[in-house]
Amino acid sequence: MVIEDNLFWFPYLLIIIVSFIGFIVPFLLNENILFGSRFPNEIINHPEAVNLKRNYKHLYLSIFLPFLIVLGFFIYYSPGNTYINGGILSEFILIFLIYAIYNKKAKEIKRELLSSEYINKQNEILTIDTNFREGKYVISIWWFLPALLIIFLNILILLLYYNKIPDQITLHFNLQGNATQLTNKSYWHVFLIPVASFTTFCLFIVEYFIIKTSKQELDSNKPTTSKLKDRYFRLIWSDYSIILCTVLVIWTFFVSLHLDKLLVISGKTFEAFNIAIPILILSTTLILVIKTGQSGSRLKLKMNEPATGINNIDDDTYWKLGMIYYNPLDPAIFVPKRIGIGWTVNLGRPAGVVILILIIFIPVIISLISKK
Amino acid sequence: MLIKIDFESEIPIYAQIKNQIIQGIASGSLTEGEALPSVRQFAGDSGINMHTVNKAYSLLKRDGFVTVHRRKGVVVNKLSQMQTPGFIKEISKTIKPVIAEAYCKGVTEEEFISNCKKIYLAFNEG
Repeated sequence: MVIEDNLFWFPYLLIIIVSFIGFIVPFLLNENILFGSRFPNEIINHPEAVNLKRNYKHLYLSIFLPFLIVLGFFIYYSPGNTYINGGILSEFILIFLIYAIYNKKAKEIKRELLSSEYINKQNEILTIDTNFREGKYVISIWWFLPALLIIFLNILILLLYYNKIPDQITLHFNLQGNATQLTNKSYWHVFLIPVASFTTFCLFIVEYFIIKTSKQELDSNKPTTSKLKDRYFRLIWSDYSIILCTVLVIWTFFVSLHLDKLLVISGKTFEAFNIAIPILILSTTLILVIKTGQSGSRLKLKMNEPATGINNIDDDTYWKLGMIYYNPLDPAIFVPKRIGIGWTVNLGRPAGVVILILIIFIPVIISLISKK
Repeated sequence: MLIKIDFESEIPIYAQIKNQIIQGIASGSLTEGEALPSVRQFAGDSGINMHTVNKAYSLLKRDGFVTVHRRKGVVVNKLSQMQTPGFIKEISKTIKPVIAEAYCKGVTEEEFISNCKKIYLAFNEG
């Protein structure tokens, strides 16, 4: 099933929000990370490092403002998905390139500053807290149960009332929930939506386990503060994953019944929800991203831990372009992202590669199947 | 308890882990019955090889500092369980090269003993 709509501003708004998130992410990272490069405490506030951030702001804006304006014209004057899809793709490529360039610049500045004789760098130490996972730092997995029950309820209703579903059912529909293309009724087409909903559910479960089990990365300069921040970060994002999962499952439940004519939702209501839910999700995500920062770095805690002055171990060589983690010697499969909010996989571990492929391909396969 | 690992130190990593856990027990940062992360969890959280972590834990287990339960995982023992009669003889062997080095470097007997006392008292108070 495909949503066909004629609201050009809606995907365009999403593109603008994504470019805004891309702009602010380098300012939401852990204290001693500059564009994905780990800086010792002695040089993280050096004028050259500060200058690089200012330079980035100018470059990013001077690329993205013209890009968004030109893209807006194209999308406005020639409706259809071509410019929207092309816009989204080129947006991600641009952000990737900008991050890669600034990662390289940051590494050069670090090398230059450390080779100068004025800087006397402290030891590099790895800090681990044996109590990191003690007590509650993620919400209980049982909170996924309501979403699972709704999916089962959906399947149960479709099975019980299968005879009441008309012979022609909706394949494509517009923003108001009206059919734009019909198809003959079959179990395949009727159960496609709950199956897709269940797959989304499974991806949220995977996300939950990543939040729960991923590597602890403490700041050796302030280990206890960074531990507490990371634990709050995991608690907030695990709560949010479960809320998000439940909202999506409930909305899919109603869409499924509406498309199979077991429940009638008015065009206006359908449209309102179809626009409100993605906007609500994106704005909540945006607020959480800004409030928490990577690994909770922006959370405000009432802590007065004295700085130890010790540096974390420089692991830049394992971070290709500052974004891709490849370290066969690290037993961890999920690690905190270097540029970004959340976690990424260790491509040096075979399990990491397999999981990454699954996470990318499952949604792609589903969307391909549903377009048939 | 916080464990700090220095990869450039001459002391092997397994020994750093083991020593710090023993010091944690002595100072009271680790208490009787407290659980330590499993070998897999410790390795995943630190990026240290599982064999290295396993070696540290095996030595701690051998010397009576921890017990490995099937359900509870690695748990800190009672102090009374750790005590071994005649351990002072083993200590003499370990401490001999340290005293010899101190002697050559010009540390007097009083200085040496008062320093030992300070460290011992710190554990007592902790």
